[in-house]
Amino acid sequence: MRRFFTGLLCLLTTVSVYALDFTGSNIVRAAAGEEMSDDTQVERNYFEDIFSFDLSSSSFLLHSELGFYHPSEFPGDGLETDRLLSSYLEYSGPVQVRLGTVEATFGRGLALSLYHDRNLETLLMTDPVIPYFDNRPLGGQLIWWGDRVTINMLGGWNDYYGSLFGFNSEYSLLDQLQFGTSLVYKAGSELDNIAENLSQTILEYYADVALGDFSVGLNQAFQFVGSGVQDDASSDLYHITYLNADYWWQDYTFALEYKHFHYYPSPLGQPEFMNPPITMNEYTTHLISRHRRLVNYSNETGLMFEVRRSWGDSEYFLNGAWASITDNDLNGDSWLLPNLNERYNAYQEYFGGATHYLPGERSLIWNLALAEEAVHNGEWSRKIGVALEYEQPLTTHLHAKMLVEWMQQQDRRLEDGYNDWVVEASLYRSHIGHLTAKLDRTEDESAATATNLYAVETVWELFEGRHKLILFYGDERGGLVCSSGSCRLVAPFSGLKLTLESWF
Amino acid sequence: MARKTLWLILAILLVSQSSLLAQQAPEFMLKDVKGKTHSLQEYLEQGPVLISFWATWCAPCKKEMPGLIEIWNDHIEDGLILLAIAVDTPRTQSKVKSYARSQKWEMPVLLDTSGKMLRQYQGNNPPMTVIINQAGEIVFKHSGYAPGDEETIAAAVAALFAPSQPEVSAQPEAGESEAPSTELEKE
Repeated sequence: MRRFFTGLLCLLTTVSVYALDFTGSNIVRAAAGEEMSDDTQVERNYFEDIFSFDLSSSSFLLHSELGFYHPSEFPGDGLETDRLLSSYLEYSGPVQVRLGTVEATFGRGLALSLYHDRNLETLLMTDPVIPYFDNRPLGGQLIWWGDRVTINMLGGWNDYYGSLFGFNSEYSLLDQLQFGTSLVYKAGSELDNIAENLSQTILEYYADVALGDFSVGLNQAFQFVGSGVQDDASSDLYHITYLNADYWWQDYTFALEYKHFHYYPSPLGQPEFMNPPITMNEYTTHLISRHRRLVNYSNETGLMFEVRRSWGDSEYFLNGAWASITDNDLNGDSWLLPNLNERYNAYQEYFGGATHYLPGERSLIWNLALAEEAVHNGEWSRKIGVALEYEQPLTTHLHAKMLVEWMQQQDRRLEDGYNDWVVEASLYRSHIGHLTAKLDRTEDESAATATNLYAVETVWELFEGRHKLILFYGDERGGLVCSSGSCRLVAPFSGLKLTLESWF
Repeated sequence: MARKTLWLILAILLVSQSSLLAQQAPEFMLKDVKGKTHSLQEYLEQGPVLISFWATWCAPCKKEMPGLIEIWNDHIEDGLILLAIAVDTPRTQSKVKSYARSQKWEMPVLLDTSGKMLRQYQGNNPPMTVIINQAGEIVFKHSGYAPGDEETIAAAVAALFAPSQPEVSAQPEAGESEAPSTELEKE
């Protein structure tokens, strides 16, 4: 505690003497309740915090992020952390130089994309936690912006990667043509003791061309993976391709995306320091996203097509995505386009909807979804979903919102499918907060949780919006939860949760 | 020990509310959807800046944007700049351009694919709205969106162009028909 006070005193003195700008934020999360783990109800209490601040002058920025995490359900297994999650000193002038935690995205993330919590999707079954699996290395970074050239270099180290080096350059040859190249090298990791000293070299190029109402981008990366063990000189080559195209015609926009993933099959289930586009729709509805397909990064090819139209005060969209494995190890076949034969882990989904802005500040949003995935020895599971959301102002500052979602899940092995429902009613008061009551119903007899789950959530903005208090009480079904563009599997929970976000 | 430290930090946060100093907006270098790099300074030379951090997967962001565009249109001749900064990661980045085009957005759409700028503006999740005066100071910041928030944002923007900028005032009280008040974080 004495060290903390000393540090705080030094901080305040520095801010005062050198007239530095001081900004910060804090997030507290706490819960008391029970969680379903392996069909067993276990006590689940946690208290955690992320405190971050920036000290800045005209050219320098000092950023630090401190985490406190002591998960009660994992006592003594090494997940506890009271430490700096990240810290760096950055100079911005003709070049930007950073020392400390480094993070970057090269191109579309095929070769390098370092994020705080990118691996949550497949690694964590708990909700929520400070990501103990922090993959940002410690090192140095230099970025230079020219009129038509950008150079980004970084080098760093952490327990997870070992050493990581990256170089990226982007050229804007003409206003209509952008071109980029990347080189990433990693060596010396201790990945779950499975691939010790594994080395990876990734070469990438990408280009974006815009011609009038048409634009197209191509990204391709080649991944060389060596064992690094002296007796084993073997090295494998993997390749990743991503393509996107857009076209605009009158009130319509058309978008096409294509992926061909053949990453090194990491024991972690997804690429270690890459985050490529998945060419699937990011749902905003509860039920469909809860049962979303997890991407197979080491062997998958896919397409996504989307058309949008604005018409008066309404917006319409239609989205289709198809995917399957890229290579069939059994007979050596491989495909450039998704093969929808059910033996090849095929997947297809269709998603459509509209937002209508009605007179009197009312709005209506509807979404329809159909998704089919080949599972269980070539059999299919099918999901059909509908979501309706209606918003009605009650007074100038008070609005009511009603949300109804229905989804039917069907497996061909089963004679009958089952239905899931979510019904939410909310009251919003601008700049004060909102109150939501929720019913989550499932007819799935094999579900670990009760048929009907009830919950109440309230959000309060305090001190002119500088604090946000979120209180949740009730039952959560669990499943895949997507937030801020990243998804993670969470276990069913019953009890009280508190989140307090603060900015200062 | 950790909990004591935590509560101490919380106490400091609460106490600090009345003593906020002017905050300089962090400078940024971000690419637009056409690949061209832009800095905050470049926009501040033209006028005050209204920033909306949004994402293609963020439903409240999409609901908020028409109101922000309306505010921008009301003050476009005063020099107000509206920036739509998308925090989509590479997973959904390619949708940004087509979505912006489908909405017929005319304001600059920038890409913050690593979320670095959102974090540097002390944001956790979109939507987050920030107003920066021409001196480069953050005069308004709000996280989240509820219907009706546009009025408070509009009042904060209007205060930028008022002959003399008013002091910080409270948010609207319980009465529903009063004129919207300004919510400047500091002067």
